[in-house]
Amino acid sequence: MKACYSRLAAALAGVYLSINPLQSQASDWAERISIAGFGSAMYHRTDEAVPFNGPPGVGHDNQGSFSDTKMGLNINADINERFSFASQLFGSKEDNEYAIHVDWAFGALKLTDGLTLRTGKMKFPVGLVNEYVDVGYALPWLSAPVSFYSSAGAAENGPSVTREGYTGASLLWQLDLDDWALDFDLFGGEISLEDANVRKLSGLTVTANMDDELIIKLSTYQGTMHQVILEGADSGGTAWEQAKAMMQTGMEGTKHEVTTFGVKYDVNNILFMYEWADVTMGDLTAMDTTSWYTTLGYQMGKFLPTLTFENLTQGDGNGAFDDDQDIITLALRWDYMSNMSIKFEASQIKLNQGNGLFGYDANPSSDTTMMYGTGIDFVF
Amino acid sequence: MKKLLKKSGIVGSVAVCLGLLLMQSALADIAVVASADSSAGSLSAKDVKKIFLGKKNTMVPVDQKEGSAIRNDFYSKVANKDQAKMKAYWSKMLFSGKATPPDNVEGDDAVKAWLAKNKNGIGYIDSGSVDGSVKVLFTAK
Repeated sequence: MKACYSRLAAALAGVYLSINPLQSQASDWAERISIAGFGSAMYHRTDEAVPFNGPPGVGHDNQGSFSDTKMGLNINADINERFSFASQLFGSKEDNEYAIHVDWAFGALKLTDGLTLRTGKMKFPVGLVNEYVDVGYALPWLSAPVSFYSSAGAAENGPSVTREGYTGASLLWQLDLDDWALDFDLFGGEISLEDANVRKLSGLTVTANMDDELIIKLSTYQGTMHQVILEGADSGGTAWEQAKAMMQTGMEGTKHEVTTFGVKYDVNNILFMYEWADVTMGDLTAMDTTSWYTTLGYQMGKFLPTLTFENLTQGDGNGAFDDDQDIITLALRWDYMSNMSIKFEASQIKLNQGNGLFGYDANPSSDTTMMYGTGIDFVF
Repeated sequence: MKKLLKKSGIVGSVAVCLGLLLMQSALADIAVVASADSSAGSLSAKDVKKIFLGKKNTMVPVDQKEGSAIRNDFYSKVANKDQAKMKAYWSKMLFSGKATPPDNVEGDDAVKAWLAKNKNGIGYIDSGSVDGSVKVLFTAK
């Protein structure tokens, strides 16, 4: 399938370039390529020994963690007026050590002024901020709300709403209506993760944007789960491990369906954001998830304090996989320099049922956990 | 004493003049311009905003230097965004691969020189710097 998309990209580029020869002046190339970067140095600490939102060494616990520290470098090239290429090298902590990989890379062919065909590996176009979720400088919070944007154990106990990226194609239709801009992103392809693959992925995202002051985004997508690996699953192990093994087997070939809705209001000094998602996993109702968050902020000069409330509910109400988790976060963004922000946040994580994003295999010592974080975001 | 009063009068007058100059500078109109040879016609405020925010590709924009007073004033007037919001906006667009920010040059003369080389280009300069080499497509007041 990957080879298929690569061939498609090469064919598209070839056909286009054959009818629109590149301008060959060497001096033009330097002007056509842009290189820019971003980074975030973050520290989190909780009052709980069991790690939150990730396995030991990656999740946040009472030992303190820099695991959300990350850096990216974008290389974009406008080959000509219609064809462009964009890519991102990204470094972050994976499996307890820092690693660099090509996060995404795609070619975009402008078919008409409002219609663009993109192919390659792209950020997942679901959620208000997912396409730049790693760029801390572009976010009001220290990190995007985990109940919606968590990347921890996507096939196991995360909300499974936003994926890091997909390989495939996207047809983007941008309609300009006086005060409003309407974007329709029809996308399809596949997702390959270490612990799961999603095949036959197809989805549609519709975004209505009024001068970047009011943004309304609606997405729906579906895909088929394959090769899901649930850590600790063992058909001959404990009852818990056997349950996991059954779940792992049951997810093979299961249809994964997600619907999300988001709204952002950012006028003068007021910031309001709300996102909601509903996830189903075929007959595996124990994996059904609903998550939402709402953020309210007020800009005071260089300071943006925000208050965020989020909820993650998973399961069918009668199984060991049921989870109900609330998080309240008070955060402050300080635009220290024109390309640098400093952030502080304090969160209260409350477990109403299950272990939430602490993971299934470990029981936190208390239903309520405090988490503190600080970080510096920059772009260059 | 008379000398002192005279001195303070001079100082006061200079301060008032400087204040007026600063006020005039802050309130100066900004001309959105293209090369005099450009075929582009007059634009609305919305067109200008879309072109400079990378949402309309009918012309190629050029920015003034980041942090310059005219650039901050331009985006405040045209897009109702301050420097930090513009930086955040371009971070979203650039790092999601959706658009790249315009090239930037320093000063009105550099904008005019850039437009002379880029017939489909569009820039902005202080309205007092408009001359025969450019034509005004829109004035941001």
